[in-house]
Amino acid sequence: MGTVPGGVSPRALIRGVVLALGAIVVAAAAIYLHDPPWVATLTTGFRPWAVDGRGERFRWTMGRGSFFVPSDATAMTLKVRSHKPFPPNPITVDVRVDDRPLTVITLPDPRHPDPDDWVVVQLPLPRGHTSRHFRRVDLRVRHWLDGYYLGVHLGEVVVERP
Amino acid sequence: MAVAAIGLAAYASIYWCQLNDRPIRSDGVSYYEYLPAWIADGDPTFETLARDCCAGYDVEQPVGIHRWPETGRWLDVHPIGVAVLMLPFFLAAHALTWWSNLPPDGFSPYYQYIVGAAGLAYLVAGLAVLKRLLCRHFSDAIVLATLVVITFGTNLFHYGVFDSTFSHAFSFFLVTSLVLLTEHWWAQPTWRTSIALACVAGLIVLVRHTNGLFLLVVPLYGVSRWSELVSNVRRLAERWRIVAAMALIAAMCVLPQLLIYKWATGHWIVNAYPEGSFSLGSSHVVATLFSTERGLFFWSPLLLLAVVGLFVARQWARGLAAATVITLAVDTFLMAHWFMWDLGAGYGHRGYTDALGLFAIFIASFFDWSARRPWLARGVALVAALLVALSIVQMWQYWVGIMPNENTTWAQYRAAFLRVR
Repeated sequence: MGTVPGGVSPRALIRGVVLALGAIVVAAAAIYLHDPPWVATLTTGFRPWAVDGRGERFRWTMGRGSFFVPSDATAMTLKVRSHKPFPPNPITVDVRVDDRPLTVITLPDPRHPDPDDWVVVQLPLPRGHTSRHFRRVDLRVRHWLDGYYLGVHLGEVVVERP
Repeated sequence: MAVAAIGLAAYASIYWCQLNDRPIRSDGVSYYEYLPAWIADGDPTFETLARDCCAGYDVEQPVGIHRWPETGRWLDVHPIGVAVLMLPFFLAAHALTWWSNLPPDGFSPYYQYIVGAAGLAYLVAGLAVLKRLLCRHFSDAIVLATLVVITFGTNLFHYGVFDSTFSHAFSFFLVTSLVLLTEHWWAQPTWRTSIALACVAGLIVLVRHTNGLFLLVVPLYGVSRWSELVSNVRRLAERWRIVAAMALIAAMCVLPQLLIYKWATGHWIVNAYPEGSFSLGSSHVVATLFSTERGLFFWSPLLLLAVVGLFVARQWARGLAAATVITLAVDTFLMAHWFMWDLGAGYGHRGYTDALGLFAIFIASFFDWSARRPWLARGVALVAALLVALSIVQMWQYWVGIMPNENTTWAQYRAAFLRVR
């Protein structure tokens, strides 16, 4: 096998090109995955959407759930209710944005006044520097009865943007 | 490489076409959830994981863990071995999750699909080890034929891509590695080989405790007569220092599991299954081997070639026959007397998937024997090809729900036979 001018063998040249292409692919993937657009519709930790007797949409939560809001949102409104008239108290919903604590929503005694009444909470979203298009909202819901996990209803989330 | 490419395509298709709901599911949850508890939650007691009910499942109680009645502490029903082997995949998923700002809960999409690919990676690694083992003793053509039939003529491929977070692909890799390392160790007991063998032995026990019986392969290696057993015992005695060091290393590997048992239950050794245990009064040996429900040879008839191979094996393979027969006989006895002898839902009898590296040696022996008889070779090739095709069709039937995932009856099997839609 001959060598190309400059003393670089064809095999070394091919290896270099492959390595360079690999590095470009990895860098492109890393840039894309740092702020992937598909997280806009990604949710984890919720059961499918359902509609109650009043025609309102809601999802049952599991112990930990997450969704994403646009990073320019200034506030969001959460609607939460315990639904089941069981006594364990307090039922708490811990809300975090990008792993930072935002608030803890405490639901009233589920037997009183009405477990189907929504607790509506408007939460200003702190302006934090982010290069991403979306911020992650995590909910941790504690609602247990005799070793069984119950969850709560989460209504449609309303986001305010400038 | 071909199996890796086919496996990746199958793995992607299974979830793209929603043939399976998620990779970390069923038994896979309990094998895996040490990692989210230890690393994502930073809480090895499982309290956080239990409170954040329920591992992404739409259920009302924690999955795969239960409170030990005497202590009130959480205990995982499965040991830590698979989680240890999944660790590199988990760390990659954890890093990528952080990079993409996804929920770092151990069950969001990157964890599911990257950790889910671990089973495929260990399947491919196990096949690479098996190839290296067989290439030392058989021709390239025999090795290639053996690798194809053991991968696609049994449930091995299924447990690498469909139920890829179950323990079986991991155990296949470890048991096959044990045989290769044992061969090296008897030839030359270097420290490197000895440490590797001890670690593999420890991991085998950590992945599935009853698989500890596969360690019998080490003292029984090369034994086909009583005098050879005596010779092995004498050689082990001569190597007592290195054997003691290996036992210590293997014990160190197993120690974390014992500490977990002790902390969670107050006992060093426990049956972590709350539902049942071994029962000598209830034997299912025939069902384990031949039934339509889960019989080994009913669902993977190709393995009957390995049974013939035990009788026609020569030289090196013949020296593994006793070890294989004894370990598989004890394994069969254990499974047939376990309260859930069919191991619940699954394709074929998954308890034997761990041992397919041993079966492969005797399938290769049979192929080698028949290749020296031209009048027989074509017939064997045809039968093997048909049995591989049958296995692939049945695997497809299982994937798409044509075949029940447990308690299959003869009538159901006949009704579904060779149906693909």
